[in-house]
Amino acid sequence: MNVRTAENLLACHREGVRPEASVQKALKMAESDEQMRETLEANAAFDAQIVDAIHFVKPSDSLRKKIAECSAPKELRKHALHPAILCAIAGVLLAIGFVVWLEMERRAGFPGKENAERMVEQLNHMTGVELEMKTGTVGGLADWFMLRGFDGMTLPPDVAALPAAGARTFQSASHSVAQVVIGEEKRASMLDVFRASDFDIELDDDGDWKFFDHGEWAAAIRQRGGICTMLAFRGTVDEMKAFVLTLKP
Amino acid sequence: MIRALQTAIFPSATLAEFYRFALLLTGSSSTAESVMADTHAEVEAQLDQIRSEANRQAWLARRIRERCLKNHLENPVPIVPRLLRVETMAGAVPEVLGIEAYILAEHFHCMGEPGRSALALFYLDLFTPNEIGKLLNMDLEELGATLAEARAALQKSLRGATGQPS
Repeated sequence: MNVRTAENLLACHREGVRPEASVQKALKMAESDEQMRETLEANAAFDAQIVDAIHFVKPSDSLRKKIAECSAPKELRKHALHPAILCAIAGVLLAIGFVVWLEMERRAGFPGKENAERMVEQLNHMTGVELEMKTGTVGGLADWFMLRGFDGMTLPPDVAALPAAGARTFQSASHSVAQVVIGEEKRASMLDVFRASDFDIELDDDGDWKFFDHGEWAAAIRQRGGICTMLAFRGTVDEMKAFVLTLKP
Repeated sequence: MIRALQTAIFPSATLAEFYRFALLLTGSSSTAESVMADTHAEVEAQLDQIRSEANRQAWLARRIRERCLKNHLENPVPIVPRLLRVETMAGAVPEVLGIEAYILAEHFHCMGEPGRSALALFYLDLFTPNEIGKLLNMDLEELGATLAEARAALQKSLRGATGQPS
C-alpha cells in the first residue's frame, strides 16, 4: 500500500467505528508515519465535534407525527387488500355466518318438530266446511271442546282472548286435536291445541314461543302443562313474530 | 408514540439519522421535513419489493438524496451565518456548538457534490464506508479522497464563518 492510498483510506476512518480491513492496514502504516498520525488525530478531533453537533439535531414531533399518521392507516389498508388477507377475512365471515345459521336452526328446532310440520301441512287440504261457525273468544270454547272429548284444554292467556270464528276437533295419527279459526280482521289464522306427548313434541313447559315455517305457512308453538298451542297462518316467520308480540298475556 | 413510529419505512431508530441526512443536504429543517414526508409518501407503495433491511436503507438514502439534490438545484445557495464562537486560534478549526447544528447544516448545503453527500453519510450511523462507496458509486479509496477533500472544504467554510483567514 503506498502512502497516497493509505492517506485516502485513513480519511474513511472515524473514531468509534470499526474500520474496514484495508483501513486497518492504513492505520497500521500511520502508526509509524508522523504526518499521517497528525492528520489522523486532527481529523478525529474535527469529526468528533461535527458528529456531536449533528446528533444534537432531533426530528421535530410534527415530523414524527406526520409520518406516523400517514403510515399506520396505509399500512393497514395495504395489508387488508392483500389477497391472502382478503381470503382469510372471507373465510372468517363464512364461518361466522355458518355458526349464526346453526344457532338459528338450533333455536328454531325442537324434538317432534316434524310432527308439528305435518299438522301444518294438513291445513293445505282444508276447505272450511270441516269447521263449525263460532263467535266469542277462544277461551270461551273450553267447555265446547270438553263436550267433544277434548278435556284438559288449558290455553295460554295470550291466545284465550283471541276472537274465534270457527272450531272443530279431529283425529291426527289417532290423537285428538282441537282447532280454532282465529277471526282476526287483517288475517285469519289457525290455532291447534293438542297434547305434546301425543305427537312426541318436547318443549320447555311455559317457555317462549318457537317459530318455524313450512311451505307458505309460518307457525309459532309453545307448551304449557303438557298441552301445545300452535298458531299458523300464510306468511313469514317475521310476520308471525310480529303477530305474537301483539298478543296480550 | 414510540410504537406508532415503528413504521415500515422509518423505524424510529433510523428516522432521526435520515432526517439529519436530509437536513445536511438541504440546510433547512423545514425543507428536510418536506423531503422526508414526500419521500415517505413516494416510496411507501414500493417498499415491500425490497426485502432486506440493508437494501431498504440504501434505497431510502438514494431517494432522499435525489430529492435533496433536486431541491438544491431549485433553490439558490443561502448566505451562511457565522458561528457563535469566533475567538479561536488563527488557522484552527472553530468549535461547532451543538446549538449551531443548523448553521453547520447550512455549511454542508453550500458544499459541492459528491463530497457533501459522502461527508454527511460518513458522519451518520447508517452505513459503513464500503456501503457509502456503493451508494455513491465509488470504491473505498475514491471515497477516502472525496472525504478528505470534503472535510477540508468544510473546515475552510467554518473558518470563514468565524471571520478567520482561510
